[in-house]
Amino acid sequence: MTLAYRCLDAGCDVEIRAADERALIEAVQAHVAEAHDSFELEEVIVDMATEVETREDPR
Amino acid sequence: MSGGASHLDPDVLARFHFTREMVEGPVYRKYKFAINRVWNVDDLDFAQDAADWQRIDDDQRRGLLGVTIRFLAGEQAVTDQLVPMIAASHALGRFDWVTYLATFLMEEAKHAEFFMRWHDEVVGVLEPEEVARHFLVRGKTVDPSGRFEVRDVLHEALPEYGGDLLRAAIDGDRDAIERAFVRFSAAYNGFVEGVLTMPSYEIVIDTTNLWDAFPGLRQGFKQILMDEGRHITFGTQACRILIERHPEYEALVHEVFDRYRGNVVGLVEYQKAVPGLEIDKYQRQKVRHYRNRCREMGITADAELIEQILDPEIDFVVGVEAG
Repeated sequence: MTLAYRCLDAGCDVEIRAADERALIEAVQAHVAEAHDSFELEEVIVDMATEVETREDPR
Repeated sequence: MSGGASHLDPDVLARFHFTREMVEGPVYRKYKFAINRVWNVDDLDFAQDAADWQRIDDDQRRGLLGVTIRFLAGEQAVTDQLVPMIAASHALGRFDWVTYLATFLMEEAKHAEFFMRWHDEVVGVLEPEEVARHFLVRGKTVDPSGRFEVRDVLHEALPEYGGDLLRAAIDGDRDAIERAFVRFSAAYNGFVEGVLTMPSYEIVIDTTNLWDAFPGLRQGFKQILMDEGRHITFGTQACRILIERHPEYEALVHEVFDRYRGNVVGLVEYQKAVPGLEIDKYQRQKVRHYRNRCREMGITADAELIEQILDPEIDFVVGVEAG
């Protein structure tokens, strides 16, 4: 299972995925800092993170 | 342990509120986070901040104080205005909300203490007559097009909605309590904490980085933001629970945001007060904060409001004077 969070900055809507909650927080913070010169609150990320199915690599 | 609960006195049963579902739930999780992450203003060192205050010029002092004095007043206001939400949570039988709100109120009081201590130890002002002279007056911020009115949502809406909520909690009508709760939380957690104030945090943190100064102020802001994340998402989560049961409550949230639309479509006086910042980004960020709050509450964002937030032609004229 993977966690996903969608950035709702104006005109963004990028979905960020990570293996666990801590990794997702770091990945979202990196995206918001780089793309929007800003930061996101941890609790906002945690509360709106969703679990998504990940398909196994068939190789 | 054996037997069911059917033989137990319901009056005695009603004295116990903890359930496994509650302890494993999202609001209790926020309570545990708050308890495990308690910080103390006494642990912050303002010595470098005091030295930095002596070396910055008058324009910088005026600009920084324009923001921090707003926070000093604002944190006292939100500490003072939280009781109705606790009373209403009790009236709704939400012991998990009451439990979490105990940490919420303590944190708001601590934030007020932080700003009181910083202004006393760094700037040398504490008494009301010393700090009030630096408060930027809202009446001088105007929309030259006349389309929007910039109101004082913090000191106007919270007492009004809070009064309604407290009266509803005392009267005990569940529908009235829920409606008043949604209005109050939309104003407090959604609008004030969740959209309007977020750029101000970034303005202060960016200012301390730009000037390479005030590390105590920056550290305090980062601690406060950890708490605020829980406050905002508690309120929006509570609204979501109530709106899921009564979808007609969504309109109450939009009513609150519409009433104070003028405060979010432009940057207000204290957000423009610090010289040297690229302020356009703070206006754009409000779109993300607003859309986040709507997502958390499970409601549809107002597309017109988003367009207005991004409209560069909406720009308030700031002719403020402190005092």
